[in-house]
Amino acid sequence: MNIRPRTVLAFLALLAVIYFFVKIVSVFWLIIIFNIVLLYINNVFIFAYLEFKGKEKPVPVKWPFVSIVIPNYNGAKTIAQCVNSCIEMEYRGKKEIIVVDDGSTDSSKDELQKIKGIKIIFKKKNAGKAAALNDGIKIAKGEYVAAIDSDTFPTKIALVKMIPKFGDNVAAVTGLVRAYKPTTFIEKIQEVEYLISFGFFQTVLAEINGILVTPGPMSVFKRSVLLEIGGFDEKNITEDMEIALRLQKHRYKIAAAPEAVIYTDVPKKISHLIRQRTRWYRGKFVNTRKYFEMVLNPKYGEFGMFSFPFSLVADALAILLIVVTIAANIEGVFQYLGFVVSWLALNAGISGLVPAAPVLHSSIYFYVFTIIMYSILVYLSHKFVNDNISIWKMPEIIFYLFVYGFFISFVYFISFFKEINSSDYIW
Amino acid sequence: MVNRYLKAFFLTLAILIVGLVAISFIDNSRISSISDSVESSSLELQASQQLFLYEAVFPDETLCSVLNKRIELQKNQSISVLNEIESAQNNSLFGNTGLLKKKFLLQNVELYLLIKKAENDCGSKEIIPILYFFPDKVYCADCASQAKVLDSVAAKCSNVRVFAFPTDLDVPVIDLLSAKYSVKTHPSLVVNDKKLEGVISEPGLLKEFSCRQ
Repeated sequence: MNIRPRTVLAFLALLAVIYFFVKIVSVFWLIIIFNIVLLYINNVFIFAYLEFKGKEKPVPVKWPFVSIVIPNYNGAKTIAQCVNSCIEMEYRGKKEIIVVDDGSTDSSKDELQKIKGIKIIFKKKNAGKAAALNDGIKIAKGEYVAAIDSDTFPTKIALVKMIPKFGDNVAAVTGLVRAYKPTTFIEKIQEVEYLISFGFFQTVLAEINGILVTPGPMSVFKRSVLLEIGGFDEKNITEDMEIALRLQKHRYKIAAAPEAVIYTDVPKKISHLIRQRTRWYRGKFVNTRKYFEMVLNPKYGEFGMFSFPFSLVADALAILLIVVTIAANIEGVFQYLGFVVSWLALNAGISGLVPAAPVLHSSIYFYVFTIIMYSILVYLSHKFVNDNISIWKMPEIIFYLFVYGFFISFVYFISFFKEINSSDYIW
Repeated sequence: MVNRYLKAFFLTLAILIVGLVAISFIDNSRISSISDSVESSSLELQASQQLFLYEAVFPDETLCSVLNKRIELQKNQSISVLNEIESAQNNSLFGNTGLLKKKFLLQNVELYLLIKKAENDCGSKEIIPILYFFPDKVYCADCASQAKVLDSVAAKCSNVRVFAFPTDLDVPVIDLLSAKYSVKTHPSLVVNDKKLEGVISEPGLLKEFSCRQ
């Protein structure tokens, strides 16, 4: 990996910021600001939720033609199950299934040829998911296009719940993405996270016209609008976020259907998770640059004034969390290391090296509020899908509440520097 | 629509206020518990001082035993109080322990002088004072090791009283003492009028005096 001078510069600037916080401003006030801003954002969501709770919207009786487009690249393991769950999806109108094989080199071709009643496009060269989707959209006949990942298994009612959400000026509808049969601990934590972000937050965001991403696993689009705005951006690393921002820019609405549960494979290994998130967060940086004029632009309503700018504030907080944590502890760590060296020179045995139990700084108690807030969010997001929070879910919930934030913050931090360094993208 | 942003703002403000009030309560209770113990030993010390004044006014040999008893009573307030003050200072948002620290240091100086005077006047060698000079404003890793050794020695030997003297806080008597023993490096110890420089290990320190368990 090449390290560019600007990356070194950014890193040194960050060290200067840390030094500034430790020595000149108290880093502990920063902890309070961090928690208070995070609480404010979440409070807005809770109030918005309370306003919209229980308000049912009228359902149109029309069931127009829907085309399901599934881009597939080396998804031989899951493609058959994916297509089958799409076939089994209930729908009162007409639907067609188009699989676009994006030059797979595994046994995808054999798997696909076994399935009857679907259209298949075979592409010779791998050109990326967005290009495959565009190819599918071109030949699709439906009024609506459902873009579904090849490792995703929508539930039977997904389409029936999503199509009625296409009201006036709505160009896209998102569902509730959940982890498919989570077994490992990492998958289980993502299950909790997905319920909060794709369940609770996405639904509230839809109500205030603030959706920032139409999740790649499954989202339904109005085909005419997709063609009008030029389809998916084939060069973007997070084309699902790019299309949502472009729709917002063209003043279209994006709705959410939390009843439409969509199961998708989530990373099973921590290394895969870090890779996936690095791509997501770098995609966020790229697309923020692309659509920066919408930030704090009253023309775009609550999207421009709240959801987009505050999502950036939340990103900044995510990076800040790791910076603050380092800043608050770096001096103590170096002092302790100095003590270790000096103590070992005395030859007085290693039992003296055990540090005394740390006394918590009183500003740390502000994290209590944030943890209470996120506990409420965990509760609300489970209520959304009528799931009970059983005692067996406690380990991942506790991990999510107390540790996961630091992990996400760390990945944000890495993504930030990779983006500054313009390192190659890895899918 | 604007309503929910305002509602959220006021709720957040309320949380901020509750949080800050709770923190200031925690900070104050942390400091006041240390302050109580410093305060009570300050009274004890005053009582001992009055004995000396009494002796100066009415020369009377029998006071020596009373004095020794009193000093024995007070020597238990160890340097751990200094660590507690330090920790309270580092970990609180609102509490200011500057005055408390100064008060504790002055008390220590006073106690040391009392012990020395008892030694001079009554020939009492009951208590062995160890002077420990260190910088307060800058961190020194060797001092952390030395403090650990001193803690352990003080716990082993009941006749030892450690006096932690920071040399950079402008306490007149500490400045005089550090000049008297020409303390130049940190940490430095003075045991039985002998200066020891650098980190002294526990066995090395125990050689310097007779430890009474």
